[in-house]
Amino acid sequence: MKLLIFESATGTYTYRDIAQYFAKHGIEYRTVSYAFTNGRSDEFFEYQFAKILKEDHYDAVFGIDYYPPVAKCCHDNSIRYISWSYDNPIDAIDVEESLVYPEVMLFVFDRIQAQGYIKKGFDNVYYLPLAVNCDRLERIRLTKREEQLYSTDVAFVGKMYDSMIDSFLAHMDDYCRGYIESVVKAQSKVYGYYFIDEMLTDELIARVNNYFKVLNPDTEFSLRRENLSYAMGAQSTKIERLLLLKLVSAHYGLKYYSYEKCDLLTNAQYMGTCNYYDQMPKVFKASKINLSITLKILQSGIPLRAMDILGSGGFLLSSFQPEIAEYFENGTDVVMYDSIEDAYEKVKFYLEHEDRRLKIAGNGHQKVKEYFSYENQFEKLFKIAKI
Amino acid sequence: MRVAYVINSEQYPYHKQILSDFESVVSGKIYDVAEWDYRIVNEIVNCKYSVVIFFDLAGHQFRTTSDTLTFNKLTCRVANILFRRVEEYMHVECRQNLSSFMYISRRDNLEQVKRRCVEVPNIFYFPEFRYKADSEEEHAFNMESVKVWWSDYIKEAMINEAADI
Repeated sequence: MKLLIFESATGTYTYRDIAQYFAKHGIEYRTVSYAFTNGRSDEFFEYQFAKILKEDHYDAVFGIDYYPPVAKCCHDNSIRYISWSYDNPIDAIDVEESLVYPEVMLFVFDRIQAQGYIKKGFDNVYYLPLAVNCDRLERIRLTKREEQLYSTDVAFVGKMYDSMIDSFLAHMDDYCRGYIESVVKAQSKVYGYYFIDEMLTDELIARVNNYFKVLNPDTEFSLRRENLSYAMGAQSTKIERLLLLKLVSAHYGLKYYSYEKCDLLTNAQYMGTCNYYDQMPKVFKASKINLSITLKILQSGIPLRAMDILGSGGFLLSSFQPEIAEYFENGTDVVMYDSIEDAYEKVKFYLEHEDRRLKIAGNGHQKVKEYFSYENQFEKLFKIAKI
Repeated sequence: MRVAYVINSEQYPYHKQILSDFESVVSGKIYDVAEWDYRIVNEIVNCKYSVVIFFDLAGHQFRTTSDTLTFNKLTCRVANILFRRVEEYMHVECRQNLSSFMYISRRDNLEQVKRRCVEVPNIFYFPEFRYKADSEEEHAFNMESVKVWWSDYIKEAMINEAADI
């Protein structure tokens, strides 16, 4: 079997492990990357990609994440495009328009997202949880200096999600602004159920867009429901992250790794960014508690960050997520919280009970190793894809 | 059309000298790795150039958190021009974006580079060039080479000179 891997030019977190799996199992591959400017058609990319496809015989194009222009190229060149996305929602426009191509098979790790596509008639969309390469992570060791550098009571690796919501709100009437702010606030307190989409009625979207026209009659901008939903989900996640990190850091040592320092987190230690492959596993190994505060719009799936923590053998304290509850036992393999107060209580409890903390981290690690290896997940993927 | 050059005058002192040969054909903003810090990488990535031309893989040591070349984030066309033998470059095998074109000035090196750099697309020969030119004749010779190269490059890379990409 020979595959052409397509990876975003900005890099993806799962690429190395996927490539390693292919190499280990005798699957030949070549990898190409591209940075799309607008996510729509791109004549230059189509020419280059077609040229690559003609240079050799490939059984399929394997996509890390999903790109509609790649789907179009595969359709034009009659080659299958099998994509396994670790982003949710898929960060591209015109996804549904490209899913009509018979060459496309899309694997997503969130069951609700997969069901959403299937309900719309896309029977080429499948549910497949993400995987983790425990063998690689187990081999990573910390030096004494690294232990000192990374060790802490609580660690958090992730974005603070500066969403577009403030720009959108600035151009809304009082009613819409109040409504949306209230929904965001309410969602930040609700775990395991994403209701923002249901609250964004056709009437509300129309009212928002009509007001844009009132403010600027010449505008061609029209806010799409999915963009507003994403911005609201990101904002409610940001609220949760800030409140929880602020509360925890007021009482315990907390180190956070993010693209930007957050001025509100005065007691927390900002550590800059960390490299996914080398530094992040060390953070998880050296920290007593690792927080995974899931992006609200990820409705049920197990995020890659939670997999990374468990695969590294770290103790996972996660916001409640339906599929974590489905595959792992809460309090035995992982610990989940369902409010900020609950999270704080659990931080306190597990910092005081090291033996239980270590036992849970060990159980969680064994479980991801057994059920979420690349071997397991690719066996399922290739069986469905029939290659 | 907005063009940028990325050079490293500390590691390769001839970069500044040959810039004039290139700028006589296509002018652009110059970024010298020897004088910058990491923030300039972001400036280049976010500046919306039409073409960024790198001499001898200047700045290719920078990586994203997922360990890919930071300059792969560029959504414009990229030209990497290698004046020296391929063995002299540390980052030559790193995967490049499909919008990147690599030009090798050592003709005897071309096939070797193609074999070795399997994740680098669009590898071509750069017309004969005297990178240590020290006479007017040699600079004139170089300018002709740059003209030939630029003319081929804009066709191959589908660059519309009249408009931004």
